[in-house]
Amino acid sequence: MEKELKLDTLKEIANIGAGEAADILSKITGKKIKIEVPELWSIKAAEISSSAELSSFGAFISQQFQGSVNGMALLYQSAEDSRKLLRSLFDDLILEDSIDNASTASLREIGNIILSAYVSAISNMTEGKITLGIPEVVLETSEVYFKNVLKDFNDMEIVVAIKNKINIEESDASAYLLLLLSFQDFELIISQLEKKI
Amino acid sequence: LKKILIVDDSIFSRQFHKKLVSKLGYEVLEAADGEAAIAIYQEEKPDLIITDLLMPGLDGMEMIGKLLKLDSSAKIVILSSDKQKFRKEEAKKLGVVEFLPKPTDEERLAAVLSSHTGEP
Repeated sequence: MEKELKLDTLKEIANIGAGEAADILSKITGKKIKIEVPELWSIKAAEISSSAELSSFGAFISQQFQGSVNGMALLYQSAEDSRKLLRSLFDDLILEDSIDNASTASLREIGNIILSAYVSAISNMTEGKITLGIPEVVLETSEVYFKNVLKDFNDMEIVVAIKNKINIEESDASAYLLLLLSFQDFELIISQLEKKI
Repeated sequence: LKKILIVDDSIFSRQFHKKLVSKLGYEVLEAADGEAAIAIYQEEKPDLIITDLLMPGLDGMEMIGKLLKLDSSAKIVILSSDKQKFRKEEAKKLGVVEFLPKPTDEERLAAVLSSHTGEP
């Protein structure tokens, strides 16, 4: 399969995953979710932070997954957008400027639901078995966060990263879904899907 | 043979669905975006259009609106990963005949095509 078609195939899987995630988020918030066309890079691991172009400080909710394919799924929101999402869910909740423990727990739960839907779509499409790890919430700048994440990916030169932006209408908040795969795992997914076309 | 136009910016998705639709005995036309789909529709007058929603440029909903203005009898099926309730409601209001969530299977696709176009 040509490289262009391989990248296109992964984009399509990510779109299906983002569609599942948006459906769940729409049900949780009662709001319309707009999904944007995804961006994808096959890059050196150290370049993720600059390529992802995530704005400054925010909440990263991540889940490692393993099984027929290994990788990491991430949900990122800027601190302000995290507060907007939480306000839209808990009208009576008074939120301080900072994100407190209760908010972090809520973000973890929301992230878990969304990321599970996202990864399940990938698992179903590839007809594999993928197990999700425990969700982690980290409040950090994009640069520092990815520097730490790279420790888990440090034996890989090239990673495939895909980013879907989703906008929560009315609350004017955005979130980003990211999928990080080693090049080897990317090839594994593609070899499964090649059989379908 | 009845003609089915598949509109999707994803090469993978077009090839995947082309394989399914061809196997069912239909002739398949392809378009990678909304503008191209309208041009092909005017020239080839396919019996049914299967379209994605999320596409760069003219997206699925905009394309459907334009197509139905040109030909209100056009039969359009949405095949999308964006399966939110409001999307389905919008599609119904526009006059779309079916809304299929991605990924779909051969049986379901066969039933939809057969019900809206008859046998190939």
